Amino acid sequence: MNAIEAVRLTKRFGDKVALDGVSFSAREGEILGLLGPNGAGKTTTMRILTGVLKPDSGSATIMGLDVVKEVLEARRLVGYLPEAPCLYERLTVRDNLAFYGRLYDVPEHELGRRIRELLAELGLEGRANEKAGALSKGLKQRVAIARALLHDPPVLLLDQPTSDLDPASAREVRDLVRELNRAGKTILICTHNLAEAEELCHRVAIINEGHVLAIGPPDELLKDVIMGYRVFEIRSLKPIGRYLSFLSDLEGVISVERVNEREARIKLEREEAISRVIRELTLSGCDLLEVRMLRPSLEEIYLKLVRREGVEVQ
Amino acid sequence: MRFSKALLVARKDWKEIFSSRSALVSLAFFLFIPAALIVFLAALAPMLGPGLGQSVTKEELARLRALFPEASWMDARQLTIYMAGALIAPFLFTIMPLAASSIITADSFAGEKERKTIEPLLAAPISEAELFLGKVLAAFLPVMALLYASFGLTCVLVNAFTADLFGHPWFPPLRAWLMVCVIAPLYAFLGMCLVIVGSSRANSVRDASNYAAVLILPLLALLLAQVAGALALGTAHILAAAGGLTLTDVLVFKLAYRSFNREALVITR
Repeated sequence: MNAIEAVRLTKRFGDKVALDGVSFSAREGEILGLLGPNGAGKTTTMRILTGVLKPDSGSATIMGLDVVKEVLEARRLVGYLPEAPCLYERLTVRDNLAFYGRLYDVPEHELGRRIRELLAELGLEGRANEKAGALSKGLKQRVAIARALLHDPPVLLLDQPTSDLDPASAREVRDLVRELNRAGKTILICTHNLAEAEELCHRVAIINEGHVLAIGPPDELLKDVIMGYRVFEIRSLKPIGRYLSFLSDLEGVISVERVNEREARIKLEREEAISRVIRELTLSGCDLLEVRMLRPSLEEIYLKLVRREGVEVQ
Repeated sequence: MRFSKALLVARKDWKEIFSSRSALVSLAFFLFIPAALIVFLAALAPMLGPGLGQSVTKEELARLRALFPEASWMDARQLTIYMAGALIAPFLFTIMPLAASSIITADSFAGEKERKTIEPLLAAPISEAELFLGKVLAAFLPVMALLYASFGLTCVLVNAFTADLFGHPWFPPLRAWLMVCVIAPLYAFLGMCLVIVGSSRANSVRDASNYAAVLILPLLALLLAQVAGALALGTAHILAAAGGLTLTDVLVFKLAYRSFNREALVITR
């Protein structure tokens, strides 16, 4: 069963079209990334999935529950981390968590234990009685994560969970996301951090101007989007310059570019052509030290897709 | 609708309000103003001596007795004090909860929006009616508790200061009882609902506060009309107004939470 399903979601705010037929699904136990520039429609999608916004058309479900018709039941299955920690700063950490625990119907006899466990797991021991407003950004974000996990929901919606965090805190949050996923949680993570999406997500949906431009595992997106060529980097023991001219004449070679005295980059029509390149280079006396395929990053895929849409990427 | 959920929201708001000293001082200030004013008038009366009643003409005395038939046995001095207790005090005790509660109600949604705490609350499994009622209770219960504390204190002090003049406890008269115990909570509830709707649509607490001011005007007009003698509100009028207000409260509460729009709270205009 799909844990999250969005079907042709549209949403307008006045004249502005925020979502224009957005469809995607996340299988149970999957981490799906929503990747896009600011204003792409990521947060609007999250808000529809939490029932805060109603779609103008289309539908969405959480574990099979409609987010409009069965909104209260659907909300119980979701742990939501908005972009900002959204804590009551005049209340203590414990009061913040207890309030949300009760709102999500965590039984009273379990609530205290659950709060203690989460605070310990998230490295917040001894902070329970501190005012939320007195905590650092990183600690506030951890409290907000604890809030999203209090009722042990099967689905987590995380809106830019590492934005504004220092690198060490961001790393901790990413490790936690992986751990939660290993524990069986389905996670929809909204980000414009490409490295984060590539590192964490099983699949990525690239969204821009209210459209899903592409969806799939980063590797498959690579095949689909950066199709038509593969790039290899070769390194030789001796200067490589004299071999480059004949390389360009080989079948299947699109272009050859010298990187430095002993390194070159070769663009091929298809992956298999590299064996012929290696053979010819060896026969002509080139002492090859290394041949490696350059894997385009998610960033390249993203930029290619978004630029095709004519959008300035932030 | 689960009342426990509404109470949960109210309790959270109380913790926030009671952790702010300035909000507490403002609340107490608003609610003890009428007490201070009425007690001051009552305390002043015996000091002014018999001269207070002598300036009242026979015609004026007859008009006052017609206005307050239950006080027809009183002399001019007693009647002057009685008028302050029966006419001015109930209105002050009806206006003040509305003004005081606006400190809380204007902050209810607009404050959460300003402090960016609203989004997880809106994403939680709580219905519009529960959330709305929670915000109303957050203002209604503490304001009513303070109102009755203030009114109780006024009763004790007024009767103590005027014991020599009346010879027995006389405050509050029936119409003051009715105004404070029936009209004040009903009117405050109505005002709170309207200010909370305003707060859910306003971008800031300051914008939302303006809604409360509008509701005080009809009460002031009624008070002035009575003082000028153009209108005499009797017990029957007050009871009829209570019936009308009850219906209005139910209707406005329903309309208010139905018109309550989560979207408006997360979209910045």
